[in-house]
Amino acid sequence: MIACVRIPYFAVALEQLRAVALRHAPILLIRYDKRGGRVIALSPQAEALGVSLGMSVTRARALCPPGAFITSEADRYTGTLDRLLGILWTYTNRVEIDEAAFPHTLIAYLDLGRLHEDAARELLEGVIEALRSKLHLNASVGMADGKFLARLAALQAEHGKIMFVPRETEAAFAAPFPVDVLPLNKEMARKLNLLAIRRIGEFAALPRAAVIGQFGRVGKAIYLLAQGLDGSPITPRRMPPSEAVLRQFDPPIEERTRLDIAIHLLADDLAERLEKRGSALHRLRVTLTFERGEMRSEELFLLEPVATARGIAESINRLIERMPTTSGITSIEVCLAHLVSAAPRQLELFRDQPARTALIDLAHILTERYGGHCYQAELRDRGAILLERRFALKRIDAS
Amino acid sequence: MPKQTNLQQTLWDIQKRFGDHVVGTLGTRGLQTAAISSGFFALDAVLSAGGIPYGGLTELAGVPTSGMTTLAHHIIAGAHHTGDPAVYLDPNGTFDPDYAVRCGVDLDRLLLVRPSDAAQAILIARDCVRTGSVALVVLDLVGLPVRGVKPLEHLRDSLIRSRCAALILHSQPFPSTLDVFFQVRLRIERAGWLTQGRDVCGYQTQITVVKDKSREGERRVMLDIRTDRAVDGGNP
Repeated sequence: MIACVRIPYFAVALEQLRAVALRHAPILLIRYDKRGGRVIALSPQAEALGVSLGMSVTRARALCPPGAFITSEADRYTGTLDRLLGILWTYTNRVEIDEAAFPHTLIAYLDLGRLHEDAARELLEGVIEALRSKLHLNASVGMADGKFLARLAALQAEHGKIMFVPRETEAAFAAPFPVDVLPLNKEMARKLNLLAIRRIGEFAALPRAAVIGQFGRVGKAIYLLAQGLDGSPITPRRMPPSEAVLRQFDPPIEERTRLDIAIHLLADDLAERLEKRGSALHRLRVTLTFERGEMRSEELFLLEPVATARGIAESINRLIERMPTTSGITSIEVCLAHLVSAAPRQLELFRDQPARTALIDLAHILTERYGGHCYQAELRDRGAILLERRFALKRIDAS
Repeated sequence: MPKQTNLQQTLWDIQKRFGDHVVGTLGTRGLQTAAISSGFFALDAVLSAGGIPYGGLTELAGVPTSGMTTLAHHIIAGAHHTGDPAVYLDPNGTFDPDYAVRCGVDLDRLLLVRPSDAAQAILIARDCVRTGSVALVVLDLVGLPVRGVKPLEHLRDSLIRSRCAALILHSQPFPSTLDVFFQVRLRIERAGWLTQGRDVCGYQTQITVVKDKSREGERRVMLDIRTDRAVDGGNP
């Protein structure tokens, strides 16, 4: 079972949360690259005025004069994305983010394994609620056996609702959607338009041999999608490394001496784990649960990484001192995050040259020593059918 | 830049006199991991460093079509993911940029070197490591004989204390007498085909961790390699 969590107008929603004055204005987020400024996200009001994604800034300004144009850096939304991933990772560690749609729309695929429909629904309701309460974002969710159908279901679901596509009904569910939702290339879209095929159902009804003959291998994969057959797996994002330990106490801890002993045992355990990984920690969170069920949590960021039992115990103590203890402690949970290599390193102040420059310098050194053996692959024509025409190998000279 | 040189020298002096932890720089350079992700969660999980370790040699041994090159490309992509450049030494001239890009390799961060033989490839790898400007060196020595242990020894010595990993791709595993040179040794075998209907859409590969310096015992992991780029790691 795969779930698709969809947050439309993601970047715009974040900008509106930052500045309330922008709530009803047409918003256009632009990014500048070598080719000039392009629209990377926009609000529904701007869409209504004819602006579309990828449009040049000049054209967008002409179409939407009252629009609020915000220049967006590449990492402007990564903080929120990290927080969102943190929420999703509490439900499953197999989460994929659709990079192509980001930041205009956030589309996250969650692999729910063999979870039954009812259990999956319950879990996804928790996801929607967590996103609403912690990030103030409204998501719609689709559930299906494949990524593509889950995405279609999320597209059709209302805000804050879940839509499920049962097995054996996939093709029927996908049939009324326009063919534009399929991952068509330009040529395929043009041909389908000429053939007056507007709906997925019409495309799926074509004979398989005719589709392969007309559109080739790419067409075949899209044809299978149109029939509701999507075997593409989730490519999960890597979770940052972390360590966590939970200790429960019965009877609850009330004296300081017992608490100190428990902290030292915890710190020893964590230091041993860190030693095995060869890591040190930068971030530490302690959660205390009290007798009445009350929970308190505090977090600490250490400028210098710590890996020793003593250092960890001191940090836990610092955090516990921040939390007033009114009754006995029934459990302590310690989470270590932001783990870094514990190996000593030689600090370098002035080595931040870009990777490409460093490689070119290295290529020059190697060419001088061993002759012209160094090459750099360059993109020539990504869409070329012949492999040798897609990329060219450029020799790097010593000069 | 004399001021900067002086500052760098002062920094090293402070470190030498008072230890590594008394001075630090702001920014994110300290956020370094001990390994490069292989791109396969299951494989990273069975390796003690959480991936291909820096500062050591890693051997990938398997016949062509076993998934060895795909795995190497994913490791390069792992290095590129953290912004680190890599070098691919390709004496056979078989490097395929199109497939590399589909595996996630950033060609702007990859230098392709085509040495004349395996011995020269190892020498160039050693020099790449010594410059300190790359995080990963891949030696594609499939089907090439490696004669003598001295070049490997020099490469291993250069890698120690560097923040660089070296990966040797070979069709025949190196003899066990050379075991000491490798931090991690992996055997790769194709286990079967993946099919979708009547079509082959990829293959399953079994990876055996024959040696891991920091963890004893042999471990196996199955990976699904799909020819349409999507790759899925199974449970260890």
